[in-house]
Amino acid sequence: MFRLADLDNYIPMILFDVGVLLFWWKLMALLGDRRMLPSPESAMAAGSQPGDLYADAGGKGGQDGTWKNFPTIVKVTLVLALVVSFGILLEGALLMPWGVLVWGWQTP
Amino acid sequence: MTDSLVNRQSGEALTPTLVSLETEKKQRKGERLFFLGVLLMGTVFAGPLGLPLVIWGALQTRAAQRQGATPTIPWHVALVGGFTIGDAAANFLGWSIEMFAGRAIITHTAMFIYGTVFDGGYLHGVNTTQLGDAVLGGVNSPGEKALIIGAVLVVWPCRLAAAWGFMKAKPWALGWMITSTWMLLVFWVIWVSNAVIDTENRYDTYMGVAGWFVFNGVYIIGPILMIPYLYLVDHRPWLLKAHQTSLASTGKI
Repeated sequence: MFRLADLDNYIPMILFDVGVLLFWWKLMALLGDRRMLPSPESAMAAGSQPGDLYADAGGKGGQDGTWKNFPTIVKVTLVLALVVSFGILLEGALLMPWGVLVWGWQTP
Repeated sequence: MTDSLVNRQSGEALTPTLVSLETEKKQRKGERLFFLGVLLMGTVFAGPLGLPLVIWGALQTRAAQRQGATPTIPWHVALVGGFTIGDAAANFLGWSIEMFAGRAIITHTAMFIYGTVFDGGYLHGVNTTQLGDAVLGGVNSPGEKALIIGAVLVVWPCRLAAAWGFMKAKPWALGWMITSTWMLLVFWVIWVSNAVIDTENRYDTYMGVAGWFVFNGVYIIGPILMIPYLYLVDHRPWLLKAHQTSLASTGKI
């Protein structure tokens, strides 16, 4: 149950969350753009074009063949990870409505 | 989503196949629905609304691809990124409201339900901790409170931003996905240890010890299971973006 009087709790929370998220986004971009990953120069021959990266895949970056090349164990762990992640979202989403039905809203 | 990931202006190798505009639009629409659904599921409370959107979006995207539309990112990147966002957002939001709005009705009710069924730490003595003259809302266990602050400040926003960058093929994002996964592993070990030390308080619930681990175990197993994938996934989408950025900064394109 939403209570207008609770707004003074929620608003600082939203401002804070947006702020901390932007902070992390900026920090990652700042550090990462300074070559945390292997540099593109080291991955490609001098003078090559970005499109050359996908020359073996007909230029279709969105259809890379990684999945086919994964070892079975990686495929299994990833599928499990996704099933579990889905379960998390589902249990989080169902617990609250079920609990309110059983116990009703709780006032502090 | 990541329309700029596949550079359609740089040479013959990236020339798109001839598919109708309508099919391409269907593809984009499907992707947008998928991510909207994931974001809604990440709010926890609006989760039931998000689920149908996720399924509908995935079906639309699949149908468009069968008609020849080119995906903007590989499907497994979309899935991993999408579910990481959902998982991280659910945890980020859940602990944020505990930290800031512990005395709000929604939060108090959520803590009561979760505390009664799974984790006594969210039931016993909530909203009673004193911090100076103020009452600090939410759980009253010092260890749990410290971990919540650490998670809201560092772990979840870091992972959320990393997952978004991962899907946008930001050059830095793959490294941060891996980093934040290891960060999560360390965090979870500390969090479980803290709960075990506080056994009488935490496990005095309907579901007991087993229920606590079943509910909370899945929060970590998913991300940990992604580790092999993150190390082995084709790095070219992220390298491509870095290469484009590099060429643009040197004025070569």
